[in-house]
Amino acid sequence: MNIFRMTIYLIIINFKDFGYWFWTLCYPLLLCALFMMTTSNMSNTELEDINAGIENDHPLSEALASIEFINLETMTEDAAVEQMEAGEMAAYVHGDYELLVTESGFNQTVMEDVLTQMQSTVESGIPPQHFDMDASFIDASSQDTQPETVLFYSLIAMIAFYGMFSSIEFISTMQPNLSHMGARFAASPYSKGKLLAASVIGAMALNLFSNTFILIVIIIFYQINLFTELWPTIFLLITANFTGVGFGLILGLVPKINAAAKTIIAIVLIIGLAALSGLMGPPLKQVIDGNLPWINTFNPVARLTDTMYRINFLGNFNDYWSTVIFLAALALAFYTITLVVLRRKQYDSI
Amino acid sequence: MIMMDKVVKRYNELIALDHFSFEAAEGEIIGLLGPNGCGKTTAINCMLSLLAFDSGDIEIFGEKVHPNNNSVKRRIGLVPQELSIFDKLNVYENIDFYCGLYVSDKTKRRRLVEEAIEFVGMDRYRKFIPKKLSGGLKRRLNIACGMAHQPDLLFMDEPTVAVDAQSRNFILEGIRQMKARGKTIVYTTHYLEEAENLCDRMVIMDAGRNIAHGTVEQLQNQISTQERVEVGVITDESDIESQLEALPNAVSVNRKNDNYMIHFEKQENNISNLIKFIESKDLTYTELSSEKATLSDIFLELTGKELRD
Repeated sequence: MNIFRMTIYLIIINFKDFGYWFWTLCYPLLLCALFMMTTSNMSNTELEDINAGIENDHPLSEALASIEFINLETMTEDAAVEQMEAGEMAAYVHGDYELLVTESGFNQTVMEDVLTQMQSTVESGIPPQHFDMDASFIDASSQDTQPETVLFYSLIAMIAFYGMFSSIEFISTMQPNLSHMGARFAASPYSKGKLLAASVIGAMALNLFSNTFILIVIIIFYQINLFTELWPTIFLLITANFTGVGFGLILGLVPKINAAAKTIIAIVLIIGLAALSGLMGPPLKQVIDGNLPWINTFNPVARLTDTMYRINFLGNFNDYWSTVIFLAALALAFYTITLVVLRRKQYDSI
Repeated sequence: MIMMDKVVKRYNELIALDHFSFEAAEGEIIGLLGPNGCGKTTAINCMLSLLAFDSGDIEIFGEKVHPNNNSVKRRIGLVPQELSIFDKLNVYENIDFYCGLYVSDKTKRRRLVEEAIEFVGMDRYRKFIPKKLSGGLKRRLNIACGMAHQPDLLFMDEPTVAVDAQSRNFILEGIRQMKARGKTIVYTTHYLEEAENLCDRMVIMDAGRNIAHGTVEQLQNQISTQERVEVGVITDESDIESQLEALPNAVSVNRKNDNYMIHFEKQENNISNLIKFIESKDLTYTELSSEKATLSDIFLELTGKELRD
């Protein structure tokens, strides 16, 4: 039987399973509905660049102009006030890191964050042209301003890893000490590499299907535009799917625990990681980022949430490839371990 | 074809296989008999290289078994004790899935699956999912999944457990047909009459050991009781038991109400001797029956326990 046929069978087996439909589709859709009820202003959020003014020959002109999501224009204070009152501009930078605004809002808060960070960087002795753009613009205050954004990015990050449920099921089913079918499989000459490939393709296909369905609901049904950078985001999500499936394989290999128990472990783990990344609202994430930043450095859900936020909401691609490489490296490690363990395996008890 | 030599398998303190040895020749049906926990399934799992064993040797088709020895695995089939079928796949898909683990050619596989469906008589049920099948039909499907690729050696671990009489007969007839095609079958069962009717040779296992093996006749020769005669006698004599025990070849006598079960060590004129004895005592008998030693007697005498203990 070739990989394609095996993949089709694995997909059929999982697709008809209630657990697949509940955890990868119903549960995220329920969360979406819950988020929509609690953050009803989300649909009004438009992800547009921020128009800002700056006085002539200001020392921050060059640094501010290099930020992708800020449209900077040199002008006088009077002209800026006129444009701000007309609603055409968010803020005006002048003097010694001073920000002139005529109203408060998300764009004004982001500008204030940017300015504050630049000021603290300059005060620490770093020249303005060496401002660190990485991560700075999604600090606590801006996330606090748009908590629903973080909720949705965190939700999407979480479901991107849900491929693990299918791969847990596939690998557990093929383990002789965990499933009756596994004894038959292990007694056969069928290649473990082919099984692994079919499991990965099958789990990826199932999860990408459910991910796509959920994203369509969010974008079309709820009218929420979270993706200004669609293709880089899709690539990021596919990478995360790959990692999630790999993690499921590792979990599926753990002996003496059946697939149902492993699924519960995976659910608890992924919800925990998603909570740390902002699924339950930004405050927990802020506490973690402020006090134990290394946790979210190694939390794949948090890395994915932050990177999606940066590229789509802030136009900042600085950590994009490091996140992709981090996720791909995790996946590579998971797949290598799985293949090594699957090959030549015999069991102490069946 | 199969050579298992002094295989030891331990689970911590428990010895599941204790220097277990046995051989099976090509084209024979060999029965592994023993009570629950005697090591039958462990022995099969070791032969299938699913279980690592502590010492000893196992060779199948002249090659040592090993998890990656695919040339051996390709010629082996397994019908596990538990139903090992996918609930979400229908009958055809289940058989095709397992056959596909051995046969990659699509055309050949289609033919083999069709033959397997016909072999187990499930043509009407090919689109049914297992949930819709009776217990007997599920067992037939379980068998079809194990033999669809037409292996040279088939391990069948209690394939008729919880099966109705009709399905059981169907399965047993199928096994005979496989033997007629030259297949070798290792068969474990609790049903002694099944083993007697089906198996060419038997291995009696107890506590992980091979305590006796051979044909039914060879096994009968290894025990003291060759014939059991049950006689119903109405008498007031109190020492009738000891008198019956004094008959030629009699080993022991058990009384149950007016009936006496006499165990004889040889099958030599036991009935006529008994009738002569009854006539000499001027007694009448209400019933009289004779039975050669069965596998159950053999098992009881060799292990000291009933097979289902």
